[in-house]
Amino acid sequence: MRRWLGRLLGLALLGLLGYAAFAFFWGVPSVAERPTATDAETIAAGKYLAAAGDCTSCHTAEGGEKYAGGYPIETPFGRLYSSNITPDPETGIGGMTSAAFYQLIAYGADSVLSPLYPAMPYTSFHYVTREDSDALHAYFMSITPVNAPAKPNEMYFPLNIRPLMFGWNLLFASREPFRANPQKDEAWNRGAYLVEGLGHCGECHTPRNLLGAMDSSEALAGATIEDFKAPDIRPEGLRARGWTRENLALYFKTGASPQGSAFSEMFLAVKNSLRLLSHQDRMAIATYLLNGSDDTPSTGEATVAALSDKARANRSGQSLYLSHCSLCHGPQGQGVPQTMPPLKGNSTLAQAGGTNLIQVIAQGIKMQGMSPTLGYGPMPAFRDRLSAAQMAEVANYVRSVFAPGAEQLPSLTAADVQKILQ
Amino acid sequence: MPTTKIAMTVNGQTVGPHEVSDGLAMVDYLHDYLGLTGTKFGCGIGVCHACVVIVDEPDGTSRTMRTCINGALQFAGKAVRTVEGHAKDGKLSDVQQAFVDHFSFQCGYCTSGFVNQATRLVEELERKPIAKSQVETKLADALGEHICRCTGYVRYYEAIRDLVLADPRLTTEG
Repeated sequence: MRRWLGRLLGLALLGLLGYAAFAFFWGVPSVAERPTATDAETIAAGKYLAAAGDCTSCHTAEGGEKYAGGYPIETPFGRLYSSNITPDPETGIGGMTSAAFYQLIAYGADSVLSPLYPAMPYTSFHYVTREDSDALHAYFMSITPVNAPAKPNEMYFPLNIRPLMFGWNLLFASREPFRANPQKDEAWNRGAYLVEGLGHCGECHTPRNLLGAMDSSEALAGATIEDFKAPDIRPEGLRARGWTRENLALYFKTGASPQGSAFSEMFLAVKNSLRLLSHQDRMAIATYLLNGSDDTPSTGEATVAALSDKARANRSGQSLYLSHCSLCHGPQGQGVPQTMPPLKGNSTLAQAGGTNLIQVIAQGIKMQGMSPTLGYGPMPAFRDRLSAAQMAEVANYVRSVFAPGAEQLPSLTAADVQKILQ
Repeated sequence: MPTTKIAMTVNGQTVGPHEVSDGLAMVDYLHDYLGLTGTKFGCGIGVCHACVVIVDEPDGTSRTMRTCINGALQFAGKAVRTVEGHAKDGKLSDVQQAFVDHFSFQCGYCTSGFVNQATRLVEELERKPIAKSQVETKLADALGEHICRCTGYVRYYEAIRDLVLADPRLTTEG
């Protein structure tokens, strides 16, 4: 009996030693030290990134000093309190190096004895680049220190033994850096970086397993957060509920859109984070969430040229009309009373040879003012913007849809146009 | 409404591709897709010229285009400059500074159009200087279509005239 007990104890000790060795060697990867930047530009960049990461929603208690922590986070495993991330040397992160800061961001641990709980979203932040982490560090070191001791966590046994988290990390916390998808464009990739990394959207929108880890097979598929449901924000889910990229960007900017307004936790995410981002970043997030971008990369002269060639080649008469004419003459050819003549029913269009129509498109018309309050035009000249073939196309389009007796009118060709303009 | 995918260069930066409605006004594209709100929507019928932007041609010349009556599609593949693109490193361009120094604007709604048109004019004079005696006429031709309802134009004209006459590269004697 005693021998068994001894063996068991020995085994337990061995296991404990093994785990300690694993925690020591694997738990906290070493990170190179870099000096803390103090220039205004890096600090401003860090401030922006802190908004993108929505640090404040969790690291500020209700009515408390900004970033001084103490915000309660309820988990199925007990209650946690967020930490003070002001640079107070006693109670905050004063004196923390940029390397330790990055270890906490990316790996959730800067010491073997007290790793973080994954309420800190290092499970997403491992995608954050070292440069961005350093800028965040520079920003937090620059803010006013607040002396606010951390409230002790109230976790249930055995999870109140913090080093156990290394085991959880091994199972569930990725350490992959962000890798851009070369098939996708810059906006999509920027969106991916923000959504999957710093923005940590999945921490609410991805369902969790029994051990509280995000289920990566169901990424962004929607999850229950206390009383509410963080909805499915995968492309198909968003599209099915009527979201477009523009409306998503609008929602991120204002918290409201034709698809509804933000409430509960998402209201905080908009108020403290999304609305503070640049338009480009909001569009990037929307682009990624809707997987809404083309497969061709968006940068580079070649792409611009290729796309514009394509846009030009594909221009039907209708496209030409809409982009060149409709902003004055109206999408339905209705014109603007006493300002722009209507094309709908316009008899000039119905002149069979098309001379006047083509000449007007080519030369434009000077302001035709009757009195200070009544006058038409001026109309710009399109000679230097449209080819003869394009003029023929747009002329044929306006004739076919707006001219009285359109069915009798002959179709104009590029050669006809050239002849008229000779 | 049909849509088309467009990309262009705005203030030196490649933007797009964006799938836009073929009838989208360029000014709305600048505002809603690019977040560039310095270009103002004024009359909406191509008269006031508040919404003018610069389009740089491949041959090194440039022209201005109204963005309220021209669809974004027309700008596909082009190099566009808006009022946001003039100041460099926090320093206003010479044209902008001249307007400020001359108290040229009050409400500022027409200013981005004037800045773009005057910038294009100054660049044209850099390539092709004109005689000092022709400056007044040239100014009236270039800026004459721009409507301003606050200052009565005089200060805009004075600002550009002083700027042009002070720069020996822009004019010749005579």
